[in-house]
Amino acid sequence: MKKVLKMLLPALIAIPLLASCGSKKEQEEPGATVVTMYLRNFEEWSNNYMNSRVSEFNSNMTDGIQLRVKFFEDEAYTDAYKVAKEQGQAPDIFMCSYGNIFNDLVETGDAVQLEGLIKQEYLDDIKDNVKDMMTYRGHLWSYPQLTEPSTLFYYSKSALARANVTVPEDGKLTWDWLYDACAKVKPTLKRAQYCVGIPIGSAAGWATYGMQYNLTNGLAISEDWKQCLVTADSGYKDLCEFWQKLYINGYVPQGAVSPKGSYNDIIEALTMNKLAMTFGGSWSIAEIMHTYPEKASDIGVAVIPTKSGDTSKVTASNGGWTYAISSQSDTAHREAAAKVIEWFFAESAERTAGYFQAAYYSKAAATKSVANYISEHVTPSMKEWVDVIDGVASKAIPEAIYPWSIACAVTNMLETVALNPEAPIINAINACYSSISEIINSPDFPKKPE
Amino acid sequence: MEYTFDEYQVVNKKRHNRFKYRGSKTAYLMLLPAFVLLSVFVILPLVLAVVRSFQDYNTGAWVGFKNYNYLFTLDKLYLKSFLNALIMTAIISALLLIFSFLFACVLRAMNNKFGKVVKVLIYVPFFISGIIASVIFNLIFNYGGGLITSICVLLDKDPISFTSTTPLAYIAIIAPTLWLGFGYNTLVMYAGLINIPEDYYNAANVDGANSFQKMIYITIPNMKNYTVLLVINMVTAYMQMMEIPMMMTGGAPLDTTLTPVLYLFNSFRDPSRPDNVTIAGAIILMLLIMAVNIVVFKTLRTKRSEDA
Repeated sequence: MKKVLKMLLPALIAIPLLASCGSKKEQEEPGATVVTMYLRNFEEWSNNYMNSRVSEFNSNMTDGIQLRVKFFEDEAYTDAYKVAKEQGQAPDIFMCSYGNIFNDLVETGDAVQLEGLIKQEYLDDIKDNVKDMMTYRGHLWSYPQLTEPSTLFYYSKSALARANVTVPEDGKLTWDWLYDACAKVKPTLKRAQYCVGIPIGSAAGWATYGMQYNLTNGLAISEDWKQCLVTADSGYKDLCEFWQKLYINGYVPQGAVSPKGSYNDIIEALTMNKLAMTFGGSWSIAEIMHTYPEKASDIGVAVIPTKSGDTSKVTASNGGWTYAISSQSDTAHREAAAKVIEWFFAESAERTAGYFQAAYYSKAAATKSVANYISEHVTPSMKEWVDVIDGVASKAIPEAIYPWSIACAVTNMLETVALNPEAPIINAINACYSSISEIINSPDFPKKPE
Repeated sequence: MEYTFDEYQVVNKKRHNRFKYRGSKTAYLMLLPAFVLLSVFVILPLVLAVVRSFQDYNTGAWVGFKNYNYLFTLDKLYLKSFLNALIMTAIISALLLIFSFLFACVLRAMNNKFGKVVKVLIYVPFFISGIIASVIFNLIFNYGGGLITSICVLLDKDPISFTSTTPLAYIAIIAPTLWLGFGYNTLVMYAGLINIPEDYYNAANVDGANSFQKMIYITIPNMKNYTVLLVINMVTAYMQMMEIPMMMTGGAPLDTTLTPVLYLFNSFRDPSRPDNVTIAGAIILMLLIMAVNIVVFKTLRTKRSEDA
């Protein structure tokens, strides 16, 4: 036993020593205000970029601020934030998506308004349509980093070429074009290969806001949240017919075909030749460039096919991330947190644009100065999709902020017409109408935020 | 000092009361850590949860039954999830009871080394978590490139989507659940079977009973308590299923495989749902499971009384 211990002891001492040799501990500024920041884990390139920026920020030993960042997986983020908040130790800076600003920041009182903390010139620099998405009760509650259109159209150039399908040069794709393209592509595909991927499951709730708006100039409920509109005109019927036609003709897969089975990674199915075309978020471009760069030249990007093909109308909703300052932080930490946000997203267009460059311009800038910087510096090879993304993002509507159960009712309607093609479409629409009306008429239904 | 009988009774009672709890001090002291731990980690959180279910999460203001009303009026999914869980629990429990009983009968007959190996092998999945089981079964059912899809492609058939129709989605959930629970249930059944006295069967043989009659009149009645135990376990576990439905179907299609706990899990992360609604939902679920268990325990007690 003693022999074993004698052999193990040096090893036990050596391992931590060796481990510590390899790790780099950041130098800390004495007496600095420590600002904590919770970030979500995204793609590896995104995490690496943010880490390098944090190191760069902390390398300044004279600004009186040290930044401590914690990364969390998507689901763990909410848990970690809620636990920290319950303990009165909410991070000084935390992330919030546009669609959740009212519920997560304003209603809860979790965030402080930015006027007076962030310099006015930086607040004025935010694009007007982005500012509209995040202004509640007359105030800004978080600072935007980017916007991401939820729906673009991606296609494999080689798959379409094999089927003699041509994409209109003006980029105006219609549903009729899509049906025709699918009819031509389908015979060229093998088993377990499909013509086009569409958002399914819960993604059909949020990734179709743009399509719904394109057809009806509104969403499932009225502007004042008092009336269900799915039967108001033929828009939702058209959407249901489109959805059903794709299913009954076997143009779309019956289930998820991407590795993680979500709309967020649907582009991988295209790069793996399981799909010839697909709807997908703008973030898909970064995925292609970082993970499948060899496929990039084969993939085309366009505005999604619509009934009319009019690309000047809304075709997507804008999602994306913003950064809020916690109301639990004291004055010194709030001011320091504001400086951190300014440094990351407002102070220097060149610095902020670095993220977009790392993202292969798969996201649209949220501020005017960064948008200008990008348009001046983007390389010609990337200009094709930068123009598509900027065009779609500039017209995109904000994600709906009404209760999610309404979006679920629309999802169920689309799923019903897809999975029960023998039943009349109007039944699914009426069921959706009843379901939404019941939700709206409930005494606990919230008022529309102002 | 001499006492009359009545006086002796009084003195003895006083003395008895004086010493009544003296010997118990050690027992109470030994119970204290368990009581403290239970209070801190079970009773106190439960009381706090009940209190919070009647409050607004952000302001702490009393809102009466508002959070409970939300589950029954504003969001009907919760009620639907109960119905889904009841259907799946009934199917899984029935299948597990039948299969594990039949296999336990086979095991009893297999009284050799091979039988021992089989017992170990069928018990192994019990140690595997629902998440890992789902990952394994996803390799089989995955529409994008699982084993079944690969076989379909080999046979030049269209792949089968296990999330587009309800019966298929149920199969995707029931298969891994059966695989996980089969070993434990079989071994409990086996323990019950070997506890039935051989004399009963010998007496039945003398009376000329056939195998079917022995099964109906001896084996099954003697397995009642074991069956009740397994039913309690299964109802409690499967009404709270979450990992497997989450991993296999995510509640699809049309929320037909959404379970109450999966609903609550999603609800906790859904900012459009009030946070305390999750707590209210969890309390309703707890009460329902308690009610089911009370019914089954009553049945168990009745049986024990009968035996006594």
